[in-house]
Amino acid sequence: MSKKTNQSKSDFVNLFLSTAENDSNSKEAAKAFLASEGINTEKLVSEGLKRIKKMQMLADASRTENEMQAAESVKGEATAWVDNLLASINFSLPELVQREELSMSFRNVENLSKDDIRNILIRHFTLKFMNKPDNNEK
Amino acid sequence: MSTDTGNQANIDWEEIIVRLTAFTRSWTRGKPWFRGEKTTTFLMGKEVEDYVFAAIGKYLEEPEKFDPDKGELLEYLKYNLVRSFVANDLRKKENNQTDDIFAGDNEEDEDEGSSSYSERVLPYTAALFPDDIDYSAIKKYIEKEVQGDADAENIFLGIYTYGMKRRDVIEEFTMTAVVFDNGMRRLTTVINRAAAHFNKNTQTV
Repeated sequence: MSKKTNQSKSDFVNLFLSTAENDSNSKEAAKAFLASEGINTEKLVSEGLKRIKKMQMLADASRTENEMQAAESVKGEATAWVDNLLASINFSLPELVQREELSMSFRNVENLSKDDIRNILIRHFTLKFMNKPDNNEK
Repeated sequence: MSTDTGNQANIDWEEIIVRLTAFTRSWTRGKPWFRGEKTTTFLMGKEVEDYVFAAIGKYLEEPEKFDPDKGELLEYLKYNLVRSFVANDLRKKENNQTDDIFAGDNEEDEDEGSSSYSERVLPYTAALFPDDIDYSAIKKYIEKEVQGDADAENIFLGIYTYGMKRRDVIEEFTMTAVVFDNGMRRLTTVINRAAAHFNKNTQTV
């Protein structure tokens, strides 16, 4: 197609598009156009709003499910991380508490069992991993 | 109308429904142009409203894909609608007229990503119009038909020759919105007549 033809076509399509733009230029213009097409706008809107509400609920449910799945996955990562950490020969709880600023969680460390310590660390690292930018889309 | 991607509670859905449906119905009126009334591509047996709500549903599922810096939500929805129509047209085996605008296009290519949503609608719409039509002849036909109707002539000149939008035409030719709307209505009638006149499927040329 020659450049000239291409331009003529593009100008014509632009003109065609401007008719659709004009028919939907404002709510009033759109309503007038739809009425001329024999569309019952009130019915269109009331049924449309119901459809949108339903779609919003489904989308929210799907997002919640995805977030829960992502949280489970991050928790799995955190668990593996903590178990690895606790198994490390160089592991030092006081150092970790200081580095991760966990003094509040471990203020009664003498009363905590190994499982309690593990669970606190898993919770801490799960939250930490979830807040990492890389995990925002999980 | 609010276009905040993060706060759907502020969206005027009533306005979106009405304006998007009007745009889509008006846009699809061009379907039989150059294709004939019996074309099976395009809507794939669904109603216009199904596409309108599918586009809204897609936004609700992935609101983060909408970038308010590239235009209003309505423009984003129009762009997605037009995209899906063109995609449908390409998928139909019997279609051999639509330009494959999706060739090398991966959801959103880089060039497209930098343009506004309203700018993106034009190339997708153009893909549905065949190349082997004498568009210069259509232009001459419309020019002749609007002769003597000053407002329609000015609107045609502004939009066709200078690529102006509604607001620009109103300002440039110092006309009121009502005068523009009436002139545009008459011009649309002429455009529809031109389309029928040059529609190769009705053998009028």
